[in-house]
Amino acid sequence: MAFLAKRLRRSPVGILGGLTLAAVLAAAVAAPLLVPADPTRLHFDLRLIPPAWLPGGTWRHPLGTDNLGRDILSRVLYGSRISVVVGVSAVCIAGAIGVSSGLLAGYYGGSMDALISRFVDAFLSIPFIILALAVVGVLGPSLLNLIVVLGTVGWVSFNRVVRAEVLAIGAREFVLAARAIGQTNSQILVRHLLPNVTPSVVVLATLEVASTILAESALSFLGLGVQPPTITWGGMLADGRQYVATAWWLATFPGLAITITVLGIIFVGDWLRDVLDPRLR
Amino acid sequence: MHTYLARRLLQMIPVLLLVTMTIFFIIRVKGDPVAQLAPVDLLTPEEIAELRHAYGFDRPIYVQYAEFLRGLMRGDFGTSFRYRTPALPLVVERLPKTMELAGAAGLLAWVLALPLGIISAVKRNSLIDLVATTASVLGRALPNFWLGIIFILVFAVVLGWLPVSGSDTPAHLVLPAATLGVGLATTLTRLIRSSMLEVIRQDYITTARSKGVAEPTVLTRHALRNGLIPVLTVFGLQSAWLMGGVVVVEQVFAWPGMGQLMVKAVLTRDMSIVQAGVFVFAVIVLGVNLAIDLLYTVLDPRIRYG
Repeated sequence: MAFLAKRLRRSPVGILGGLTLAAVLAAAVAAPLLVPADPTRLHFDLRLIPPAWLPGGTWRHPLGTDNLGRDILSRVLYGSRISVVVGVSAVCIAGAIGVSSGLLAGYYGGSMDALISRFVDAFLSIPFIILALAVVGVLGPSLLNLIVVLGTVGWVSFNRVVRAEVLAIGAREFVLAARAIGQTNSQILVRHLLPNVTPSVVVLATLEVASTILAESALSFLGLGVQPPTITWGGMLADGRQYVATAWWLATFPGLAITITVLGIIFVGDWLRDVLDPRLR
Repeated sequence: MHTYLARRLLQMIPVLLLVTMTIFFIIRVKGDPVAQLAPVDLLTPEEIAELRHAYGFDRPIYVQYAEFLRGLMRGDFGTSFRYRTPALPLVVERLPKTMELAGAAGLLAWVLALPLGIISAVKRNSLIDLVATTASVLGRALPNFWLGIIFILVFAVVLGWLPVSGSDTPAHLVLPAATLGVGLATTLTRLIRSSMLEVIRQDYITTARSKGVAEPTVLTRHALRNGLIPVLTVFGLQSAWLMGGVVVVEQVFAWPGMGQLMVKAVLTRDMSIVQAGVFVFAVIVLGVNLAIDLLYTVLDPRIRYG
């Protein structure tokens, strides 16, 4: 940790990403304390108020209100919760499936590798969003279903990276030595190979959180994410799409929130990659 | 070449089988598939039992899968509940519109990325390089549906240059294709840049230069041909991403393609259309990757399949 902190001080991009990420996490955790107004309360007399710096705007609603008079800043802050929860949980599931299948494929090779690789090929040929769309359509859109679907659909990249790493280190001396002193396959996998692939997995997991948040907001935009009244950035964008000609701020701010969040995560991921795993560059 | 093509097509069979299995199980993840295909709450228990028998859902699962595959061979994905006609023709009918959009986006991405990638590799740390690298970072973070809405806001609403949505004239294609193409272009630019940086350090490039070959020729005929191979590989993987993007962007611009049909089908639980749609998208992605494999031989004559 001290090593990471020391390296962070030397990287402006890493600091920027870290600060952004900290702000998003703070918004997600402390949303109820931060919001200027109840994000779900309807005010029909306060509909489509523009942001504060425009004529007609008010600082009581800094980013304006939507078509139902709800405060946009409050909704953007609350929206971070779903993105963070879905992003992190789905990547945990994807990582667990991908890392274990990658370890098995890389270590055992042969027919085990061939079998797993066919599954990977099949998953790569069905576009991620389309498969998620179909499965969510059957299961019904809910927070848990969304996490499970994005998790089970997103394991492929973990599998590829871990498999390649294991292939590269599997024949090294320390693995041979472990086998020579009589360690079992599962001991070698867990005690020797797993720690060696961890740096790459940490880097990949960070970047995968970014793409999972993008996928979650796309599904929410299509109406297949977590359902209203739960607030999602994608859902806000879908509502705002209809008002783009008259009230641009409805769709602009949630989109900006997604972009800034994802950018922050990518900065942190790229920095982690430079520090932990220069080979991945 | 022909034997290679045959072998590649044979290799596609297990992958396609797994894809069909995935599609087969999609409507079965939640238990009773009848509930996915018919409005069960409106039916009596007898009618449900009858439907279950009519679809063969009361038979062993492997028999059902065999039946499903046999239907697939005939292009039979069942009947759409909404349109009351076979599902596959409904999807295929929309295919040209989707390919028009994906093709235009892919073309635009290459047209933008090729010069940008080459220039930013050759003139490293120049202004163009800086712009290209910044854009490629932004491109990873911008959700394409949001970019589409911003394009609508700027080019259709504020400037009034282009139509907001629909697909009647070529002008309607510009914004959706740009939305998808720009995102793809940022990825391609980054790949072309790093691949070119790798290649122009090679000895044969120095040799070509010292022979007095003109710099543009060195870059295009010598460097680019080799530099493109890894880029093409990733482009193949990106084609799945592009197809996913098409589905979302069609929704933003009310573009009447396969994606729009599929999203509507998912929302109305018209699962036979969803199954047919997933299948057609998977075939497109596999086809693109096969085409790219064959392109390798054109770019690098040392790669011989046979």
